[in-house]
Amino acid sequence: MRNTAGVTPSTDTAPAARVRLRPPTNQVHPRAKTWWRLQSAAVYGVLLLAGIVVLLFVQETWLVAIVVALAVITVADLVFLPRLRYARHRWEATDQAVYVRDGVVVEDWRVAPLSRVQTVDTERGPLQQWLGLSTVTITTASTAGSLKIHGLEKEAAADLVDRLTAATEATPGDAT
Amino acid sequence: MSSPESVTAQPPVVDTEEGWRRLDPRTIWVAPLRPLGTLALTGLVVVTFRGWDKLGILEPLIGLAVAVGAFALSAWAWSTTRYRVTTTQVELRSGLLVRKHRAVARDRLRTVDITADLLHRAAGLAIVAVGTGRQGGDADDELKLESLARSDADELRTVLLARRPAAAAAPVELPGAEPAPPPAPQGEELISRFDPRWVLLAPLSLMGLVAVAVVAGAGVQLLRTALGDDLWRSAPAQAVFDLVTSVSVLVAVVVGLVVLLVANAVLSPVLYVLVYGGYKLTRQHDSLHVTYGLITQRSVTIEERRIRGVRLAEPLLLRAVKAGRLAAVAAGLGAKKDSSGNEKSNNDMLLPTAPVGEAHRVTAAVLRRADSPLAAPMRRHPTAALRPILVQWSVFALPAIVLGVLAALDIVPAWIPEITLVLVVAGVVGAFLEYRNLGHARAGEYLVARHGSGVRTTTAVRCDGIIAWQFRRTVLQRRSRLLTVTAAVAAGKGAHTIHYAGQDDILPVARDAVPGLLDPFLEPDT
Repeated sequence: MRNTAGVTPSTDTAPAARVRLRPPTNQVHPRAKTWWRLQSAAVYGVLLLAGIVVLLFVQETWLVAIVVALAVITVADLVFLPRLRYARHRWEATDQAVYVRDGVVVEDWRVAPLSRVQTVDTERGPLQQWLGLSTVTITTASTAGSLKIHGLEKEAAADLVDRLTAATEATPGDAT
Repeated sequence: MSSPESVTAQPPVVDTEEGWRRLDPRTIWVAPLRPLGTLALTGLVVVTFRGWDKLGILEPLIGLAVAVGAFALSAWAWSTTRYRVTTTQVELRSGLLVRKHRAVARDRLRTVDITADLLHRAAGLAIVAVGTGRQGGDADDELKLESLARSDADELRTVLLARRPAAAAAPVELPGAEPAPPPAPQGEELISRFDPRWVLLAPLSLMGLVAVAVVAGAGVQLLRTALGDDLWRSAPAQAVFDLVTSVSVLVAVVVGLVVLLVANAVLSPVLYVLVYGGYKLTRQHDSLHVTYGLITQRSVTIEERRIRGVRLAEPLLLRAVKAGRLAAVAAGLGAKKDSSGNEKSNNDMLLPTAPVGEAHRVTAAVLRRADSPLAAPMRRHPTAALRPILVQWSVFALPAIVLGVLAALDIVPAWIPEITLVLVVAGVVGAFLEYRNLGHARAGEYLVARHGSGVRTTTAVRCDGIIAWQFRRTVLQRRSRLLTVTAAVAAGKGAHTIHYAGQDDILPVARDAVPGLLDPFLEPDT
């Protein structure tokens, strides 16, 4: 292992067994897929509408091609991406730490020990309120160390916030 | 109204409801000098370019009125500003029309910076800025006393930083009535000081070129604003233009380059001495003091317990002669890009451009270690890391591709894309440099990361300062087993990132860095 006396020679790291980050245990609520779909639908809907309106006046081949491509991307984004993201987005909260995985194209794992957590926030937009979902944000003293769990079921989110807040208050110090 | 003498005699700490003190009265005269000087210089340049004969009686009168107004405003501002230091707080009341009251709790106070530019020093004044070092916020948590007598400023700093355990108890001891001997520098330990040999490195830091660029840019901008299109028709501009057009292009380019090189070689050492002359790094009261500057004198105090690590920056040219700059990674330092100026930008400096050996020595002394973690042998990253790096640098090929297509369509002449091929070569070189500079190491209780292409940056951060982990990779990097690891730290820029490391190297390193944290989330990989 490491020798505390000084510099660790970096060349002799012969890993006994290869390790990897395991998936966190919990998934968010399945309705999160609907939420992501509605979010994307709003953005793409506006774009597509604008494209179609333009097409009513100008019928250029390349413009038609762009709108068709946009439509294809929209369908792919609405059908597949939420499913992939739902499969990727997992979270876990132990007595020691919070662990969140997210991201489809750029995969992203974050771990924060509870002793370093500064605030735990819940956030519910209009769509989320309608779907009964919450987003929980866990922040530390550095902007690089904030974790977000998107689309938790409302009660589950409240439970999690209570647990984390209790654990945070129990730790003394300014968490830096 | 009290005379300057009675102000200096008054103790800087008073434990009463009263105890409000004024800034030094000399501020009234000193504060407007700099803006007025800039204004006068601008006027002078503009008049020179426009021709002195066109100068009437009105312009000097306006100038005079502005000057009188500036001094009057300054006096008003001085008369409405009060500050006091109680046992618990530093308070500042100011504002001409809108009254402002700002207070900083003394036990949350982290930095005390003293700055004195040429004018302030001539008048024996200094600006004191006290900050709480809140991370990631704007510079708004800072309280600035502009300005105090130099002796008062030094005394105030000593008082503010010397406290600690029983801060709530009686007011801090004051060094007698006589202000002459500075409060005993007991236990002051000199870590490093200015070495004239470092000046030889200055031309490689290209300080002079930067200065030339800044001055030239500002000058042209100023004249353009003042004269508009007439600038290019004015006599001095015509003279330069005639001179350049009278020789061939090649000669003009070569002469231009030589002039720049000479300017850099001459200006850089001068600037280096002016900016960093008198540099001194000392330790006292568990705080580090960095003092430097011949023209604008700066004195930065960094509490040791806020230091999470150090950062060594080695630009390409300086790397060739084994030199670099050293900065502290400390809570409240180095993160802020101040909107009002660059004053905050350099407040984490520990050592100006100097030999790397000195940087290692200073690092070891600052971190109280036998050796510098920055000198640890680095674990190189897998060759697969070259791929995402080349993708990043591929933007350098964009002009060549676009212009190449345009040339193929006969829209632009063929030599234009050929010139942009230089950029492609530069991009490839940049990518290879960046790959070669990638590395990480674990040195004692420090996690060290190295990255950067033009400027190689090596950062060492204490493992117990790590407050969260972030691991990232793109889907494409899954096969090549790359992982970009960011250790969140409540200091400096807030993130300590190890780019494109091999997953099998870095996960055990991260696991050992913060014991127990990652273990439950790792599983054997088949």
